[in-house]
Amino acid sequence: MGEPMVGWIIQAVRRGRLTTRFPRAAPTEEELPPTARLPVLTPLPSEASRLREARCPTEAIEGTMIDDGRCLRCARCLPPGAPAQGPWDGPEPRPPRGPGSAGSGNGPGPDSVWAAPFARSLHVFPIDVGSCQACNLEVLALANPYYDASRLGIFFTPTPRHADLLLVMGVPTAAMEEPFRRTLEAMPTPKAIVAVGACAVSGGLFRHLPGRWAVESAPVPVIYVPGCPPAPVQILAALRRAVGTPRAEGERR
Amino acid sequence: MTRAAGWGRAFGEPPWGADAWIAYIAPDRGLALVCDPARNGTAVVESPDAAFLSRCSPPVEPERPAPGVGRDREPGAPTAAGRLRFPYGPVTFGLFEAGRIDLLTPGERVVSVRPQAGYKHREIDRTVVGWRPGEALPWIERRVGPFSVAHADTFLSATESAAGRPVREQELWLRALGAELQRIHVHLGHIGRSVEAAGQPVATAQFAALAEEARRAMGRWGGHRWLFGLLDPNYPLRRLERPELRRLAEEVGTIRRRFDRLWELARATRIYIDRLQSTAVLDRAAALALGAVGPVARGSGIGWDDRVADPIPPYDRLDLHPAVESEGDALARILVRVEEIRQSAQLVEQISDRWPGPLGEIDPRPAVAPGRGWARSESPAGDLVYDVTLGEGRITAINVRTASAANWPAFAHALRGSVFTDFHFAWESFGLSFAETDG
Repeated sequence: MGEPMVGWIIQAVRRGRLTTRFPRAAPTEEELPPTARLPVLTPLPSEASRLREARCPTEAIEGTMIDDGRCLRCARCLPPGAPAQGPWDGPEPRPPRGPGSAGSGNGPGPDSVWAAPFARSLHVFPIDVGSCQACNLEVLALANPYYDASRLGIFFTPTPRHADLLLVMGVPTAAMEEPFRRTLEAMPTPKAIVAVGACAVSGGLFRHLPGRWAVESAPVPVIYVPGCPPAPVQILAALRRAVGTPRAEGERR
Repeated sequence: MTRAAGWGRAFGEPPWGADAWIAYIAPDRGLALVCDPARNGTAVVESPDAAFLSRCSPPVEPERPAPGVGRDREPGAPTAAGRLRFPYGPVTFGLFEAGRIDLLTPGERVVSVRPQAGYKHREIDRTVVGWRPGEALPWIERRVGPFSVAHADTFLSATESAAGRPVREQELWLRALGAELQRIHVHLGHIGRSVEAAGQPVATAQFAALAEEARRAMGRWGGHRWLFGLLDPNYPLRRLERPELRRLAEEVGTIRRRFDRLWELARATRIYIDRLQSTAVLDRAAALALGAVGPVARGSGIGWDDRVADPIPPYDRLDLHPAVESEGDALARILVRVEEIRQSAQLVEQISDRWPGPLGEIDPRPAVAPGRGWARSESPAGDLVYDVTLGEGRITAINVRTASAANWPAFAHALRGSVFTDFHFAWESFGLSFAETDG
């Protein structure tokens, strides 16, 4: 039984190209499923509207407005049996509540979080500060053949000392606030944060933890990627936005 | 493979030939789920007495700290004995999770392993108090994303047992379907990352692609890539009626066939298999003594699987034999996962064949009576126990004994004596989760 290296290569070639055409083309329905997009709410009489607000586990709804940063896309605000498609493709989402940082992914502001456009490959250090692991695995998915972030010059680095960007997943718990601060300090300047997922963006379901402000109050620019968890293409889009690459077709602001 | 013989279907029969059975659900308070035929069944008890513990599976021997450990003031400092306390985590790329494992080593060989959980404590058990059971689901699901259905399922079963509420047949089948889909995805992830640790980039990419395909199948039919919301009665994005189920089963079949091809190649890749074989060995006696559960216990020759030994419906009507390996090394645990991917794909097939019919609309706020109940089920990591107390329709307390929490002592025991580079093979074969442990 020899080493089946040839077998692996044949297998890989037989599967063919799996990689998404994003960002050359808009993401497909498969890559950006309904649960990655904000629902669109229709106006309701005040009593029903209040009930709908009460159903939201993160108190993200006010009338027909949804707080993008808090929304989990859990669809509890939609009527039972609502169609999966159509109403999900919404208008511009509202920026997350709270003090917005310069270059917030969803608000107005410069595209690159750095003073000058980023001319080289981007090195990213992911840090989990209290997630449920779903965001972690969606970030890890960027390395799989379907998304293949390295083709866009985006690489993971195993140490914050070599990182341009800190990818934060989860809501900072009491025990992780200090490690988070020290990791950020260990990075060379200039640096920036990409907050992945509702927990990192706004605290999400865990808004009661005092650490929820740690990401927002960090002394560096923050780009927000809301969603629970966001789809890999959304994380990819945020990373591209961080380096100031022009927006691709169909890419959301 | 051996068929688990002689075990009763009903909960109440202790596993592994012991007189009684115990699972701690809140060790700090001595709260345990106890099954004691001498007392006619199972109950949640506080501080079980020594006489009872002596009748359970072999007594747990407390781990004696290696010389010098107690004198460490700070992780990373050399110890008196000339050994280094190496803190792995909480910020490290390798674990990809916030948690810390302290490894004591004179250089290469690991002489003591101390997992330090608690970095991801999000106070879920406290946060859900005061909510109605259905409203608490988002928190329960997000305790650990990859096992969200197992947690939601066990939690709902516990509330139903607390409130004495009958469950509709369709809901039970839906829960089993979601649990099996997630089991396939979780096992694929562990196998793929163990291949990655062996430095096989082509193989890693192929396994990672397969895991992505599993997530897409869950997203397409279950309505969410992580099946969050699947068990929510009126989740609008679920597309699971008979024709869709057929297509889901076909997609799972495709994933299974692709997996078989990949595993055929992986099995012949000596570089990979050599790293797993005789790595982090947990023998049967140690697995029993340390209370290992799930694929870890099954890799050490203990044929316990809640889906067979203590099934909640519809598992009592599905055909399943627990996957058992006897070697107790990382390879055995990976082989159990390989076999379980095949079985779960088969179970999805069976479930789609025998789907009881449309889900229809479900009352999202059923009346619930006060009471206390518990339930257990086989999560991808093993035996999961929920103990829920309801008062006036709202949760007043929950206690959880997760499979990850149960398997830490076995992990620490098995890793001792290995070298540093064995770590990731042990880690992926055990499949522990800090998020699940911390809650």
